[in-house]
Parts: sequence; structure tokens; C-alpha cells
Amino acid sequence: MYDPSLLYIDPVLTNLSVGLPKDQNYYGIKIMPETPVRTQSGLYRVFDRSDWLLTEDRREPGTVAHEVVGAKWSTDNFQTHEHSLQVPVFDEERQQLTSQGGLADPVFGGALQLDPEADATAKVVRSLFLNQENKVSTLVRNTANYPAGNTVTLSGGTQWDNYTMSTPGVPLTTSSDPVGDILKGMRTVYSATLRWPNLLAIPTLGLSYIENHPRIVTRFQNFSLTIPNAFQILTGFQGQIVLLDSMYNATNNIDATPLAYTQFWGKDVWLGITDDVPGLNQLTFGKTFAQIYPDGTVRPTERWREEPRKADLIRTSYKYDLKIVAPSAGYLIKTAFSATAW
Amino acid sequence: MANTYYAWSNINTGEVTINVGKEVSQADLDISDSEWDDMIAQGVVRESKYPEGVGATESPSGFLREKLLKAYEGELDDADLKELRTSGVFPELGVEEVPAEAAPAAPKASTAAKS
Repeated sequence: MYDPSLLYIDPVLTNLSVGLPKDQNYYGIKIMPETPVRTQSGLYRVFDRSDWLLTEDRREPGTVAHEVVGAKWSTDNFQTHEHSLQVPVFDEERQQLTSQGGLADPVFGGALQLDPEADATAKVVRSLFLNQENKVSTLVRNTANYPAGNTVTLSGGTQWDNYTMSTPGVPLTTSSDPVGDILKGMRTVYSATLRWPNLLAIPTLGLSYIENHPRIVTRFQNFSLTIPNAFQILTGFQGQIVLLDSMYNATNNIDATPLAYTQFWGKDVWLGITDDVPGLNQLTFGKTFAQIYPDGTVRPTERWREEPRKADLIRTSYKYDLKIVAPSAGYLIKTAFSATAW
Repeated sequence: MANTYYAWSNINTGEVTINVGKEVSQADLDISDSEWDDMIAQGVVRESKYPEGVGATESPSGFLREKLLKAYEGELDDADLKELRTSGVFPELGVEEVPAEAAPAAPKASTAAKS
């Protein structure tokens, strides 16, 4: 009696949609941990190295003892700037979403998990973190921010995805040497700070090149990757290892094709000292000075009504300054992997 | 004429090691055009000289920032300011202008008109 094709409308699946994962892990805050401050700008002391001076202490009879020179300090400053984003949620959005024919209608399979308010909040927070990640990675990956001995750029045969052996079949004749490079960085940081680096940051996509590197395979032929902290033992690094995978869409246009996913951390490897907790006489590579808002948080989210626009506005703010406070506490291995590695 | 570049990072190719501050060229490193361009883009090699007098535990950007502060306090002479401008570390200072005497001589139109 009826054409079957007229009796059917394709439903929208409610348990499947295509898109990028909305949330990423961000690593800038690990390398330059947050230090809450109660002022927009301020100073912090940088002590001299008088504590490690050798002072003549021999006293001859009848003479006055040598006096130890007191410590001095200089100051460095921070200046926070506000970063703030807002997004409107219009009344029409809710009205259309829940109307007959709206995507929240059971006819279309339910609400499709669209929640304008929650999604708006997540979006502004995500955008703030993306920008911060960009700023931190730009700072950390800039060779001008390191002392002369604290950065090396690998090229050609020394890059970690290059397994070429100068004597075929002899793994230890590769020019590339991930463990050697990491250990050199550790020694460099230790010699300047008397502390071993406690954070090693490696691009996620480079991990397999390290695990399968001939020198590492040879070094650990009888070694099981299933043992705890296997990777730490493989690389010789005893601190925390983070795998970097954060990225952004560089097309700056959500409709442009092809999409240009750009990794914040490129093919560089970083190791150094980070301290999450503020303290005195610290030697930590970098800090994110974040001013505390009156509500006691460093990233408050506010919501208010704009009646003329028939919209609720959602805004998140973050007032911070990124500062490399001890450049010798970091070590940068640039282009540890070749351009063609991934 | 090719530009002169200086290493702002130690560079290790396996065959060649270049230390920070040394003059370096693509031929020295024997690398492809794309690799060389990437090094320029990432600031590993720069046209500006690595600043002299940077301490062993100090970064060049920190060293130059200190100089910049002194500049604001009026403690720097013209030569120091020129070094800051040409370093490329502080683009907000603008680029160093080519001195008039170094610029190519322009044709003297007035002379041609007379003759």
C-alpha cells in the first residue's frame, strides 16, 4: 500500500559520533608548575652562591678570626596578565534543542548528550589551557632560554630514530645514543644544581623508537618490559617520565581542510628539575605565577545573564606569568627525532 | 651572498659537532634544505651573533633581558642597544636599520638631468 522508503526516517545514533577527543592532557603546567600569588606583580629573591664559598679559616694566636661574608641576593620579578575567554549560551539554543523536532526530542534518539552550559564551560577552560600550553612549549623549546651547555640539537645520524650502524650488525656503533644523551643532560643539570633532574618529557610518538633502539635492545637483552618502571630503567632516568602528545589545530579555521594538527612539543625532549610546591632556596626550572582571585581560586568561572541578548554568558579567567627562574635546571635536546619519524 | 648564521645550541650530527656561538653553515652540517630550514625556524641557528659575556649558568635571553633593563634605566650606550636590536630575541625593539653609508648608492637623477 505504501512505499516502504516513505515510512522510514534515518535516526541519528546517540551512542556514536565522530570528532576529536575533547580533552587532552597538558604538560606545560608540569614543567612550569603553578605558584599561587596574592598580587598581580611582585619580586622573588635570587640568592648568591656564597654558601659554597671556601673561606680562609686558619687563625694565628693573637689575631682576629676571619669573618665570613654574608649572603647577598638579587631580585627578579613577575608580572601576571589576565587571560580570559567567554562564550554565550543563547536562549534559542535551549529552545530549539528541546523543541519538537529539536535534537533533544526522543524522536531523534534523545539529547545526544548535548549540554550547552557544560560544553561552554569546558570549551573556555580548554581554550585557556591550549593557549597556556602553547606559551610554555614556546618558552621551553627556545634555545635562547638555556645556558650554552644546557642544549644540544641532534641531526642526521645522532637522531634517535636513526639506527644506522657504522659497523653492520654491531649495535653499539650507532651514532644515535638516547641513553647517552639523556645521561649527559642529567649530568649537566646536576653539576649546576647538585640535584638530579626529576622530570623527563618525551614525545609519545618517539617512545617506540627508543624502546626498539639497537643500543637499548642490546643493553637490556634479558630485561622484561613488564617489570615496574621498565622505561625508567631503560633510559637510565630515575625521575618522572611524561609522554607529550598535546596538539592544536593550526589551520585556525574549523572548516578548513586538510586539518593541520600541530604538536606543541614537536620532536624535542626536555629534562630538568620541577618543584610543585613553592619553597625557599629552590632551584626549579620554571614557574607559572598565578594570581589568586577573590573567590580563592586561580581560574574562576563566572556566569551571568545578558537580557538584551537573551543569553547566559560563561567566562573563565586565568591571570598568570610564565617565568624561567633557573635556566640551568633544565636541559633541552632539540630534534631528538627526525622530521620523517612521524 | 649567503647569510651568515651562528649556532644558538650545540649541534651534533655524529660527524660534526658545532658549539654554541660558532659560525655554522648548511654545508658544515651536510644536511638537507628542509633540515636546515627547520633549524632556522626553531632558532637553533640564527643570523644574530650569540651574545658575548653570557655566564655559564645564564641563558642568553636572561642576559639580554638584564641589558634591556639597563637600557630602560639609561645605562647602555648605542653599541649595546644595537646588539640588543640585532639579537632577534626582543622583536619589540625593532630591527637595526642599515646605516646610510652601507646602503647601495642611488642613481643621481639630478646629474643625469643636467647632462
